[in-house]
Amino acid sequence: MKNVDAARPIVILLADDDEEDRMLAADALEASRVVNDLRFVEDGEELLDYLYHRGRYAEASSSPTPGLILLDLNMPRKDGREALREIKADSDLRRIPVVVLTTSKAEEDIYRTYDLGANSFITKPVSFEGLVAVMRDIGRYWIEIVELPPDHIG
Amino acid sequence: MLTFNAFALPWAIVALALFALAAVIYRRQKASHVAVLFCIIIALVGIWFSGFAVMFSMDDAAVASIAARVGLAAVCFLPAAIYDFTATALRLRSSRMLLVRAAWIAAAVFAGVCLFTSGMVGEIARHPWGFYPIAGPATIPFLLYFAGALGTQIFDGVSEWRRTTDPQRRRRVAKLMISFAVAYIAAVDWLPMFGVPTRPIAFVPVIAFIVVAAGAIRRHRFQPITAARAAREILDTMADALFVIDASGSIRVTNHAVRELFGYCDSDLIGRAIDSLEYAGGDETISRTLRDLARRGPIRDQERVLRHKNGHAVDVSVSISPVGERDAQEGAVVIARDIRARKHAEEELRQTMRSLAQSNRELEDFAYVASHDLQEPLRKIQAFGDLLKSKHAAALDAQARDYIDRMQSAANRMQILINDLLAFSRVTTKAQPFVPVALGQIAAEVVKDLETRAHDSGGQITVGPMPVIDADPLQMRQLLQNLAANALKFHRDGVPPLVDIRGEVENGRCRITVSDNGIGFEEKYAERVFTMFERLHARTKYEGTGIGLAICRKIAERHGGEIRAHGRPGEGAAFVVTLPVRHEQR
Repeated sequence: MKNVDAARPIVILLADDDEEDRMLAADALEASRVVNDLRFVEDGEELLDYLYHRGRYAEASSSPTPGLILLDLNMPRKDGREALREIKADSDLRRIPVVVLTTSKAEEDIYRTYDLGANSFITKPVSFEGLVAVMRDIGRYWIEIVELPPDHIG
Repeated sequence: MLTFNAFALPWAIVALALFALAAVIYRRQKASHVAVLFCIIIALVGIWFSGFAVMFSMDDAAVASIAARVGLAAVCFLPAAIYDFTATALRLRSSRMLLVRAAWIAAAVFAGVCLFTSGMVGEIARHPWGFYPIAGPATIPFLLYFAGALGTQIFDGVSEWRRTTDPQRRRRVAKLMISFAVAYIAAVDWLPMFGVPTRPIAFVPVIAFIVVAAGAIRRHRFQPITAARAAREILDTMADALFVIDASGSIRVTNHAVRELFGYCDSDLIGRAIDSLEYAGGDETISRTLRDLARRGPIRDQERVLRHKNGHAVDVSVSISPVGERDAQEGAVVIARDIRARKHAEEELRQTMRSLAQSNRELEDFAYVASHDLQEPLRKIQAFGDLLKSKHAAALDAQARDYIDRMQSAANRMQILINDLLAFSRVTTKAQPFVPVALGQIAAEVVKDLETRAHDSGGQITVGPMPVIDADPLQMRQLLQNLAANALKFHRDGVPPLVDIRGEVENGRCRITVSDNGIGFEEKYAERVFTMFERLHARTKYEGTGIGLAICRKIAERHGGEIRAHGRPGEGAAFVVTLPVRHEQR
């Protein structure tokens, strides 16, 4: 188990264009009792604005860098695939684990997202209970089991 | 010696006319056996008449006698010649060979007697109009022979006329008989030889005969039709262009179609190298291939592009055959068929295939997106239903929870339906090309997949020997899985399902049978089960949307086969899929 001393809540950034899906995700995370600080963005543009502290996210303190990104693929303006490519190409952002959480189960999508450097690919469960279980497992894995990279070294 | 005798004049003129006619006919139709015989007949009559013309013009009895003998000797050959002619014209010669030969021999004998003895021409009498022979002792036998030949000719002619049903041939035979009948009137000239006081008038019927005969000869050709006879017509009727080239590749003969296909006329092409007609330069010119002909044999259906006179390309299919002996090749025959229509059709087909593939891609994309977007609201119904039940359990009584369950169940059914429809459309859009598929292996995989389900119902799936056929492996998997899953699903209460899968090959067709001991169905529903969404049982009794069998039928039909259902209520069912074993590769 990791060092619980540094147990300040990890910021989870969820990118999903569907309002209800965001709502369900929040409910599921809450129901699974994963300690977290959940932020939302609605599409790829907003996601990158947040990460680069641009636009309405210019204030760094109110938009802390996430320790985990949950990324939907099909979004307007800039979709998840495009955003993923940019994140993993950026020397500062590429260390942030990206878990793709999408309704798609198409093989091409799975292949391409891993190809672009996504850390995991999860197909959204059909039922709410399923979603709760997945959120619980995501939390347990990425926050409790996995060592996330520090902000800087040295 | 020779005095002018007006009586001799018609004989001399007709004799000359006869010789002229014989010469003309011989020149024009000497290839025809019948025509040659006809010339002989006419020439013989000509000799007869010239001999008699001389006889009439003589003062000296001795010379007149010699002329008479010559003339009558020619007459001796007439029966044989006429008989031979008739037999040949009626195409009886081969069966009458013996008689014909006998006739000629007899004629020769009589002619000999006539010329060298006084058997035919006994004495010569002087009439006011000229000398005329007196019949000798051999005359009677000759007349009998003559009558015999005549009789046989009439007999053959009449029986041929009776035998033939073709009206045109009947007319010909009748004309032949009638024209000779006219000529035979000349036989009255025998009378003066026996002392009857009449004048010889043979030239009259003979003139009539000449007129009829000449007309007939001109209209009817007695030659048989052969390829050589019709050679020019063959060349010009052909739709394909034909060139005959010499050993160096120069064009020597062309046909009408060359003009139509390439726009050149004969004079443009004769003597020109056939290679100059090629559209594009290249190594494998036509004249180059000539060299290989002896070795490789004739070339068939080689696609080439030649050039029209006004420059545009003409797609042709060329066949080349050598002319001459193997090692002394004189040249070649080159036949070029216009295949522009065919090439156009091929291009259109390629185009159609491309747009069909495109259409399938678009359909798949559409179907995928549609199904995906259609699923989204259903997910929400499920999710919020769950949230209602979990977060607001206190506010919901049993009936409220029941309503929510029914809503969610309905949404679930729709999700399955959408997936099934997607699977149905994918039979076409995700169709893979056919490869050899070991059905036994596929069946084994299906059994493995359904292991849990089978176990749950206490049932068992057995797989018999299965052949290898050309098919889409994924679709075969779908097919067998659907059928086997159905067989497990529709089992009888309390009776463990026994499912059997086996295949056999007969006459290039493979028959796959999936049979079970389940609830079966009435034979009258055997077709209905394959209709999309058609169900034989209430939804609540057996789950499923009713599309599985429709997918099976679509798969079977895509493979060029068919599927049939057989059932007995309360005993079981068998589904028989018949598929071709081999598919031609495109």
